[in-house]
Amino acid sequence: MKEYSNGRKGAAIVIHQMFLVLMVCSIYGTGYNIRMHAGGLGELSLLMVTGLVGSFVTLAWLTNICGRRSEEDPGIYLNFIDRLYTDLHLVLMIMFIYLVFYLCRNLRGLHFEFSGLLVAVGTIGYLTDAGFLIFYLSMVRRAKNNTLLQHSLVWVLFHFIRDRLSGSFREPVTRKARERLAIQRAIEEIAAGAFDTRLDAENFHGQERELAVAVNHIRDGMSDAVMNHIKNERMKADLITNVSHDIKTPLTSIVNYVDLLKRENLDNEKARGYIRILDEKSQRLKQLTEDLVEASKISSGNIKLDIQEIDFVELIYQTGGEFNERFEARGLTIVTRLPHDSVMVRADGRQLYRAVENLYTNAAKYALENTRVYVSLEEHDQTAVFTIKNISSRQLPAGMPDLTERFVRGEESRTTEGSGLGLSIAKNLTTLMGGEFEIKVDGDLFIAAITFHKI
Amino acid sequence: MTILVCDDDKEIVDAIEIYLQQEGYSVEKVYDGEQALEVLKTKPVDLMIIDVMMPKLDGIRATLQVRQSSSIPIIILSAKTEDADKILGLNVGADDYMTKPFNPLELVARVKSQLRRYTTLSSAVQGEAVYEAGGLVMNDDLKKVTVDGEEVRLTPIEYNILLLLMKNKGKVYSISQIYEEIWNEEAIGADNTVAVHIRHIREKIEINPREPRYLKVVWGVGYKIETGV
Repeated sequence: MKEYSNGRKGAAIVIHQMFLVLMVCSIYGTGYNIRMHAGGLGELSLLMVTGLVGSFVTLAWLTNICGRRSEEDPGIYLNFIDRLYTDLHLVLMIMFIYLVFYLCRNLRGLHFEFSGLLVAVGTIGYLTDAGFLIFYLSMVRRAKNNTLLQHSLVWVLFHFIRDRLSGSFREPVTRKARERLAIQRAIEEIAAGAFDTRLDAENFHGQERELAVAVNHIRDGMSDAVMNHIKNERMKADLITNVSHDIKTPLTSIVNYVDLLKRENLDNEKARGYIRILDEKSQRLKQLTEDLVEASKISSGNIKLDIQEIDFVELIYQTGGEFNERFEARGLTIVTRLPHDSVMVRADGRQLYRAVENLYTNAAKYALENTRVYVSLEEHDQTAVFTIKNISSRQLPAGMPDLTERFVRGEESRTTEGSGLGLSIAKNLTTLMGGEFEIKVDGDLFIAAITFHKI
Repeated sequence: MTILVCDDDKEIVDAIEIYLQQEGYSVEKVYDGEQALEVLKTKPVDLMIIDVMMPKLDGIRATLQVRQSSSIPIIILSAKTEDADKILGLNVGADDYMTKPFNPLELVARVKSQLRRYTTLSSAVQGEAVYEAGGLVMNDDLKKVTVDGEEVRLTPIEYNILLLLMKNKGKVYSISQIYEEIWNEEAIGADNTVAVHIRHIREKIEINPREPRYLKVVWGVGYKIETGV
């Protein structure tokens, strides 16, 4: 790593000034010699050219490296002089030049020996160059940092007045503040879950660069963790899908041959009973496999949503039409209280139907026979809440387990139909579409609610 | 009529054979795609039932090859239940897609339906008051509804609802629109009536009312007759 240390820079400045003084003095000497008709013009010209070339070469190198710390580090580092507003600095420089001219004019009046005059010329040349270097190198640093104009009193005042007039938030002026703000915004985006924001370290300097790099690391770490999680869920879903394919083939034969056995007109009463059990269980297994694939697909988010504006009221009527005979078969009466007008929500109609269908199925299966099932859609300021209430036919266990967890059912023995996945599917589908899903149990009263934002 | 059944699981093929023979069809049994193509070349076949995941030549590729030379009805029978799999199967030229485990009676119904369509579609009567959507035909002059050539009995209200949807294929009607059109009264606080009628119609015209081919439910919007079946 090639360092541009202060020692090197200082040395370059000293060499530059030596060459410059040499040049100035030889120019003065040349003029003096011509006036005095003295010789030695050739040697003086050589010294003059050497001083000229030397001072320009060192100045060019200084221009190149000023503001930088090493060859590898592209950052621009400002020093205290650069904090001075550009236009103020310019005014100071003009005053300095005026001072130099004033000194030079007075010099003419003095009557020194040639050697004394040479020292005076060299000194003035040296001081002028020092003042010039301070000004020039500072301007170069500002230009490299793109703050030549921004960091001026006129600019700041102009923006201050403009912002006051428009009343808008003032953009930070200094580079540090700007970079801090950029880092803050990036962190806010990452916190909000946008893992595609990445800070370009090239655009940051010093401490802010370290911060930016650290923020990128955090982003990468979080993004990896989230991606891994998604990947694992997908793999799990794929595994379940593949296993279920393998299960379905033998299951097809079981279902088919049980059906064939049923048609065989067996005389044996016991055998018929066994076949009936086989039939029920194989159908149950079939339902379970299908639900399992669905549940894993939905919980891994591996499902395409077609979000549209749909009428929740229409959807509930449609669902009611699908179910009324299943409810009638168990002596259940649906009491529906819905708004007269449409209630529009943003959702995938087919998936919302599946969520609502699962709740209806749940009621059809587990509600106490010959009771009423209450279905309603309530409108609030921002939301529409669909609720279904029923009296459970069995006592729901105390310390109710979370019914929306997979495979949890409100009964200890798993004798009845159902896979225990229905409520889990309904909940995951609802949350996937941006809705809320809630289940409450109050004694034997079972309440499920789906909430969506109204449009 | 001869039906070619192709699946690498021998027991499934045997079971399908039993069901089809009970309905009077003769069955050719093969166990991979290559054998299926061989049989199609040498014997007259009226319909093919084919599995997707098979050794040597899978059902999708076999279907593609069959379609290059033949237009017989093809029913795909697969354990893959994804929408994408169904769309792929129908896109390569299959006429129907059933998932495993299947209901044998539904398979037989679909076989019959495909065969009826294949043999009777060309003789469909064209008249002014005839509305068609695939195998579903409504003749408003005779007040007759047929699905794949077989007559379906609807109640007057069911008939009028279906006629409204058939006259405007592809258009989605909401429950209140249907109510106002059919009952000629304003729908004040509609109820399940229309939805129940729709389900009854579906049970009569669809082989599997849960996966309708003709009368589709657009959830949260209304009902429509599918175009392009």
